[in-house]
Amino acid sequence: MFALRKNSLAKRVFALASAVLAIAAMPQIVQAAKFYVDATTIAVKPEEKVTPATPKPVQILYEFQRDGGPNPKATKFTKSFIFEDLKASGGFSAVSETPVEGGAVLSIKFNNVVDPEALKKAKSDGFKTGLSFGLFGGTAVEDLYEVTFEYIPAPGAAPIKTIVYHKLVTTIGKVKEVIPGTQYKKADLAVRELVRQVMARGTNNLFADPAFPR
Amino acid sequence: MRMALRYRGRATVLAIGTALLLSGCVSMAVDELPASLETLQVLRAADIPALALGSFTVSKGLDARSINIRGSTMHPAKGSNFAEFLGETFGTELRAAGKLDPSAPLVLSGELTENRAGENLSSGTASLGATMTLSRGGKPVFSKAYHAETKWKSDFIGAIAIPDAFRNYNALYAALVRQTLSDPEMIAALKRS
Repeated sequence: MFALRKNSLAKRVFALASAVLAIAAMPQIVQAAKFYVDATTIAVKPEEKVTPATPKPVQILYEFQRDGGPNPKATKFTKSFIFEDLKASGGFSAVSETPVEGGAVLSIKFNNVVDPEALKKAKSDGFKTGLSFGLFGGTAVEDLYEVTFEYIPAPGAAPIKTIVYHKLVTTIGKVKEVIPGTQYKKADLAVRELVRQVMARGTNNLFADPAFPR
Repeated sequence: MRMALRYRGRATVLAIGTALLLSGCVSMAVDELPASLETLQVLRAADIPALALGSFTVSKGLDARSINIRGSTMHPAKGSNFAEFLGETFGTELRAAGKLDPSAPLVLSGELTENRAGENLSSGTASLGATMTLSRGGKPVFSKAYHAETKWKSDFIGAIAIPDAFRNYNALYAALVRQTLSDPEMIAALKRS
């Protein structure tokens, strides 16, 4: 009985030591990470593009979320991208974080949706990838985003709502499948492009809505 | 038997040690929460007058300097405490709705009465409580205790569990603010005061 327990303990210690080694090797693994963003499904075609003739000011309420909960660090990181893209959209005369004349408000919730099964698989694959330093099999992880745009033209007016779905694929180590989309070697560049694509689609959906003020 | 216990004890120590290694102990400041559409809609619908914010203090004996999860801590900005952070969260929401006026005769103050977050490798809980007081001309006209709590599924891996716990704790501030500002008794007090 004791021998069995001792054997089991030895295995556990080996597993834990392996985990520590895998973490120690993390810098090399991280260097091997690649990021993919695929615009195919959400890109705004030139013939779809809508720009309001008389843009009005809007107050922005922006939050990046993880599974519906706040993620203030990511909010801070992506906020400037959101403002840049809103200004570039041509649909608003001014964008502000405080109330504006007319009382228009645009709420954007950039939710990183967590799929529990996908997370479980990613942890398992990631551990194996770590143990082999990414040489004998890699991991591809999908980050799913559900971005909700809600525009209220004036106090008391009905909101105009649209939801945009997108994803960021990260690979670590050697991955056999071909990942569609543009490849980025830096995560921040991939996130910037993902935000740009989401914002272009989301704002265009709003501008195309018949209830959006022209 | 004693040997087996000793090995189990070492295994536990190793497991905890590895969990800590996997996480890396960190000390981070609590992040400001953005204003939400939900609270803004509540404030617009309630049509309350603009108000000023008074002092936000900590109840005697309550630790409002840090939250500890697996050796990692979340703390308020330097020289501040979580009661002041609650006040800032009220300020963010009221400002976004155009309802914050430092010179208004109505003043909302708060006393933080509960501040807790913890987890046990599989689940986590956090709670926040405050007594909010509305005053006019320095005289209290309404006072009520509010409480917000949350539960979540925690993870063995610290790198996932620690940020999850901090995010869940952080979210309580917005929840407590929304609960206070959407409470019909508070709204009635704000309107009649």
